Amino acid sequence: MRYVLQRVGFLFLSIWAAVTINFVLPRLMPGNPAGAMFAKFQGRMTPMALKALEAEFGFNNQPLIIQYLHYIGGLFTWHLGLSFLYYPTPVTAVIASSLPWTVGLVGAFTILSVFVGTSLGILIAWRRGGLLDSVLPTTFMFLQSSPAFWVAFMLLFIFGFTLSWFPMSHAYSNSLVLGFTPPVVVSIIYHAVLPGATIFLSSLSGWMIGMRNNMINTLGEDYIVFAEAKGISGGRLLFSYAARNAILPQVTSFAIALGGIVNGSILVETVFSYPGIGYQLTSAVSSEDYPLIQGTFLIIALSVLIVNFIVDMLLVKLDPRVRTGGVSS
Amino acid sequence: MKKFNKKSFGMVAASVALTAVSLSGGSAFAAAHVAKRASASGVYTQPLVIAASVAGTFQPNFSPFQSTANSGTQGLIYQPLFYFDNISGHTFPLLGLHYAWSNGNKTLTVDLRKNVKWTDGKPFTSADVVFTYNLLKKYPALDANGVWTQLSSVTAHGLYQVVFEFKAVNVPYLTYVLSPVIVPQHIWAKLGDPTKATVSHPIGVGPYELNTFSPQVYTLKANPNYYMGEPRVRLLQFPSYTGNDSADLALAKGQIDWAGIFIPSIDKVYASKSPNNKYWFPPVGITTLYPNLKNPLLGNVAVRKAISLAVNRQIIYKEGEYGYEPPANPTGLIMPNNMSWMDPSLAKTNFSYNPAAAVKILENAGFKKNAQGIFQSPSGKPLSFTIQVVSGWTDWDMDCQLIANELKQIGIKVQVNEEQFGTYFANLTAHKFQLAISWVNTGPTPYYMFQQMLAPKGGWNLEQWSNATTTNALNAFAKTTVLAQQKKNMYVLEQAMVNQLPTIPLVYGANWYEYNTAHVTGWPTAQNPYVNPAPYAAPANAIVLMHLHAAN
Repeated sequence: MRYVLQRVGFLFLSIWAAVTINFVLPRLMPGNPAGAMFAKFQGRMTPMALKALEAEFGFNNQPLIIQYLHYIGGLFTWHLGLSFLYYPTPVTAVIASSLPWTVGLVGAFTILSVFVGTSLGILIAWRRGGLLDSVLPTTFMFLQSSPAFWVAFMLLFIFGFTLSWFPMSHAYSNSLVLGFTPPVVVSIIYHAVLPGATIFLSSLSGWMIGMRNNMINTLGEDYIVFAEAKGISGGRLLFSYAARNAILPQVTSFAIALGGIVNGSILVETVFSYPGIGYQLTSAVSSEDYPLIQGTFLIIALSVLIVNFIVDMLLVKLDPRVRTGGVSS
Repeated sequence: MKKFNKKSFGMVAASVALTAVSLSGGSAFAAAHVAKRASASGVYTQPLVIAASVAGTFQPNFSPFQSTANSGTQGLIYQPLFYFDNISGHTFPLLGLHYAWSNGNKTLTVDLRKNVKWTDGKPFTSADVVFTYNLLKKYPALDANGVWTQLSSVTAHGLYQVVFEFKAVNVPYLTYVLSPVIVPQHIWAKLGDPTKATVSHPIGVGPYELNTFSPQVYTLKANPNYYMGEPRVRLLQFPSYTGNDSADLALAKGQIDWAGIFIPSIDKVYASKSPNNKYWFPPVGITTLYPNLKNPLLGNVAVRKAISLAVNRQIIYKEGEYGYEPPANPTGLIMPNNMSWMDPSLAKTNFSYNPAAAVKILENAGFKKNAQGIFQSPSGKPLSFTIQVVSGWTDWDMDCQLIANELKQIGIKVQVNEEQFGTYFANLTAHKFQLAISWVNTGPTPYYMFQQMLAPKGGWNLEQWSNATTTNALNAFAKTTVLAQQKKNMYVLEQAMVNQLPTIPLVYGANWYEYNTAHVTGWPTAQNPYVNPAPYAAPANAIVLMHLHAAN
């Protein structure tokens, strides 16, 4: 119980810290949003229009402490302000329209990657030194070491542009009206193949090699040798004895990966013009859109912290040592 | 750009543009009837795909007062009274039909088009116009043209006439005054603060209305009751592109019909892929070197002339600007757009690259080279300057490096300072720079550029030029509607540009415009430049779309 309270306290403290840093950081950037907007128009906007823009965004000239109090107050009521980039659209609306795409795409393929990678890791650890063990890690290490946007662009160029097997951009066909209908669902899956493959390929080897190494460590433990000597079947030994223990570090990594879903695909989304939150964040930063930067970072910080909290709780279930603070009872 | 044939171009352009304006403007009703009868042929029902810019995903933001509104909001859905085009130089009557000056050019009377309807069926009248202008007065944040800096009142005379009273005579300002888009009173009166109103279901008067919306793509459909007739291109599709790479590939594949995207090596990556992949990058601005005239060395016209002669604009055009933006004209006019304003005695002047002449000018002005090979003034001050540029604006960064190298060869030391835009902008507007590269604001006549750049209180007078001759010429220009007098004053400004070099024009700034002729024709071209062709130029976009029709 004390452990749980500790974690809850830590959760709130870290949320406050994240929220405050979130407020300070964008304001340390040089320039201002009206100027950034003006820059985008490069001479197509007259100086009169800049005056009008500054008047529009003028509420930003209040003292910092007042802005901070407004901001904290807004968080409790979920009023994150109006985006400058999409002025006057509320930040919450921008996030609500882009977050589901990212969570769907990156979430699905991260989970797939974890599942496939971990399974492959168990398999090649069991048959270590075999053909698969030498081929798979090398291949996927190569893909993982290439930058994700490079992999994305290669896939786009080969399978989208040259071969025309898959669409080059967007989350679904532009000729469809979004709705929960079979053609839309098929189109969404079809459009997710290339960006999904990028995410899958560039994260698979981490899961595979991580699990393989954990497995090899665990398989070398005395209790495994003892169990094997007692004649326990191979499958039971592999999954119930070895994999159950070897998977603990994977769960922690998975938590970090889940938290990173929100921001983990910025470049992939940009390459495929995918209407997700990662792209939204980059454009918010380049437009000095403080409210949108804050909103997006808030979502990232909250998702990382909350997922970590959930995993801390889960570990209590999975690993009895956590409950007792490392003292064996 | 390379397609220009500069010698013969001007005359052809002028005559073609005149035909175009009479088609889309004055005789609009006749044109509309013709369009309706001929509509069996030329109607294009597939979506015309438009990538106005690589601006990322969309929000349902169709408020015409926001610079953040989705492309098409201005021009296609909402329209202004008139449109003054900066490429053809022509005036397109939209919701207004005619305007006339009276009361010593202080009163502007505008006749409105009759039987125009908002897309919800309500009639458009002078009440909407007066309401809109009063909205701009009440909320200065909406007044992007600063119309209320010049106006004293806007009143309706009957249902179809509006009278604008100016505080002082300022004839050219009418293009700013007549440019704001008009919104329907019966809707906007209930919206509350218009600076914060989100408009997701726009009601306008233009050739198109909103059809479907999602963050990834939105579509506009033809307005069957448009006052110039239903456009023959019935459906427009605006997909979102978040990166230049993906948009360039889609363009090369013919998936985009109309785009306004910068593409390096365009002939290789785009035009060579299909005979239907066309582009035209017309000049609309000037990339200019601004000398700070309060600096005693740069205040010396001999130094400015030497700099201008020592800069090789052909290299800047070919290497810095990808071969898209040719050298500017010494008069500051944008050619061929401003051809009709050219002082005949200056028609043949061109910038030349002549470092030997630059050295001679400096020597004649009493400058001598010091031990390091840098020229110094008679009082011993070396010609050593910094040049400010925005870091990451790669073409300008390259231009500045080229300029620094070339000036070094004749004995002027230049150090390039790359700054974040915010710092750069603050330095330029506070005049804290020695040399800087920047743009000019242009308009339908060169007056707007000269006013911004050379008037003592001009909005872009970065160099702090202040000269009685040019100021008088600008004031005299603004007081008259007589073309001959306007031209006489314009020539004074051109002479000052050529002889005094208050700023040093380098190369033109282009508009990006790619179009595909596979399904649809009628596009503006260098041979038929009837209007600014960039899809992001509003309301020129409406004029282009009214000219388009199915290819067969």
